[in-house]
Amino acid sequence: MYAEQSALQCPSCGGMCYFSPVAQALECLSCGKVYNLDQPDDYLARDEFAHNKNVPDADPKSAPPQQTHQCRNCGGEVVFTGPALSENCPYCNGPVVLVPGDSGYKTMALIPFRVDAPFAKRLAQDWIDARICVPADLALTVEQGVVVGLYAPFWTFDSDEAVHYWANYVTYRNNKIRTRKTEGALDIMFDDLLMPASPHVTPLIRDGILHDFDPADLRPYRAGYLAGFAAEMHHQSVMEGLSANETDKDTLIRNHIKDEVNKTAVHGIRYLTDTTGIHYRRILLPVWILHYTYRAHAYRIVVSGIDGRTFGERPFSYRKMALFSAAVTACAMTVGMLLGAQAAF
Amino acid sequence: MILNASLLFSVVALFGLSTYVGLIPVHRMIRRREAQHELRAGSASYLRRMGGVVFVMIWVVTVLCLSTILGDWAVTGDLNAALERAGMRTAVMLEIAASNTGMR
Repeated sequence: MYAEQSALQCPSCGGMCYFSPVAQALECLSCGKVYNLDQPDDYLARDEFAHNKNVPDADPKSAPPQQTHQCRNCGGEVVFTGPALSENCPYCNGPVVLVPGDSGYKTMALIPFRVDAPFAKRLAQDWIDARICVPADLALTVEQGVVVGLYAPFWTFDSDEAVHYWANYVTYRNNKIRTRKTEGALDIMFDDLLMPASPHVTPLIRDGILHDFDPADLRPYRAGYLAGFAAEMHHQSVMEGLSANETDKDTLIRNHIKDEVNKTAVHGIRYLTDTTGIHYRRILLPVWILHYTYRAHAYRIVVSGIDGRTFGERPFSYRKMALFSAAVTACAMTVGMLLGAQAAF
Repeated sequence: MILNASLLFSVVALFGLSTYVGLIPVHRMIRRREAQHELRAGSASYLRRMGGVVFVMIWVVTVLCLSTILGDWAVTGDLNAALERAGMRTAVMLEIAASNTGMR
C-alpha cells in the first residue's frame, strides 16, 4: 500500500496525483502535471483464466489493504486510494469506519473512468427529468445529491452449456387449444457474461448501465487508475461467483430455450445443463453513484463511468399515477357501458 | 336511459375502486416501459421486468365486464335482469373457452 501511495506522488513537486477521467491520465493536484499510465503490454489485461470445477481455487490473494473502510449501514467494504477520501459509503451513503484490511483476491483488470463527476451528475439529473409520474419537487432534491465514483467488482464468465430441455407449449388449430410437450438439446455459448462480484452491486445496476462491455477497454490493475476513487475489492472465489450468479444464468438459459422452441406460450420448462470451458476475469468497472433522499427514503442513480449510460431508482407521484389510472378506468368503463347497453336489446 | 341514485353510486364506486386498484398496474406499466427502453435487451433484469402484463389485462377486462352490467342496468332499469344477462354472457364465454381448451 505504501508503494501504491508513493506511486501516486508527483515526481516533479511531490504533490498527490489523482486519475483524471478527462485527461485519461494521472494529474497532479498541486502543479497540474499529467502522467500517462499506458504501458505497451496493456493488451494482456484482456486475458482470461481457465477454471476447472474439480480443482480447488488457486487464485493469488492480494495483500491486505492498510485502510479499508466499512459501512455501518450496509457492511460494504471499500478502499480509498489517493487524495479523495469520502466519508460516506459509495453504495448507500452511510457512514464508514476504518477497519483492518482483509485480503481479497487480486483484481486482474479494470476499465478506467472516462466520465467525470460534473458530467455524471448532469446525466443523473437528465435521467430524472425524463421520468414520468415523478413528484414535482424531485428534480430539486436530486440537484442536491452527491455523486461518488466507485470501481465496482465484476466477473466476466465464458462458458459452454450443453442443455437438454423439456417444455410445454400451446397450439391453436380448428378452434381447439391444445398443450403439447417437447424436448430437445441445444448448445449455448456465453461470452464475457458480466456478473456482479459483490452483493452491493445488483444485477439491475449491471443491466441498466453496463450495456456495451468491450474487453479491449480493459487495462491492467494499477493504483494510478484508482487514485481519487473508492474501490471494492474482490472477495468471492470463482465457485462462489458462479453460484451467486446462478439465478441470472438460469433466466438466460430459459430464455434461450423459449427461443429454441419458438412456439406460443412456452411454459413448464425443465432442463439439465453440462457446463464446460469456464473462463473468467476479476475486473473492476467504473460507476458513478448519486445518492438522494426523498421523504426519508434513500434512492440512488447510477451512471456508467465508461459511456455515461444512466439508470436508477426513483419515487413515484401517487397523484399523477392516480390520474393515469383514472383515465384508463374512464375509457374501459365507457366502452363497457356502451357494450352493456347494446347487449340489453 | 334510467338514472337513479343506486346506479350513480355504483358507477362512482367502480370508478373509484378501479382507480385505486389501478395504481398497481400503472406502476408496473411504467417500470416495464422504462425497462424496455433502458435495460440491456435480453439481460436477466430485462427479462424479469417484462412480465406482469397479465395483471394489467385482468384489471382492464374486469372493469370492462363490470361496466357492461352498469350499461345494461342504465338502459333497462332492471338490475336483476342485467345481472342475469351478465351471468349468461359469462357462462357462454366460459363454455366457449372450455370447448376450445378441450376440457369438455
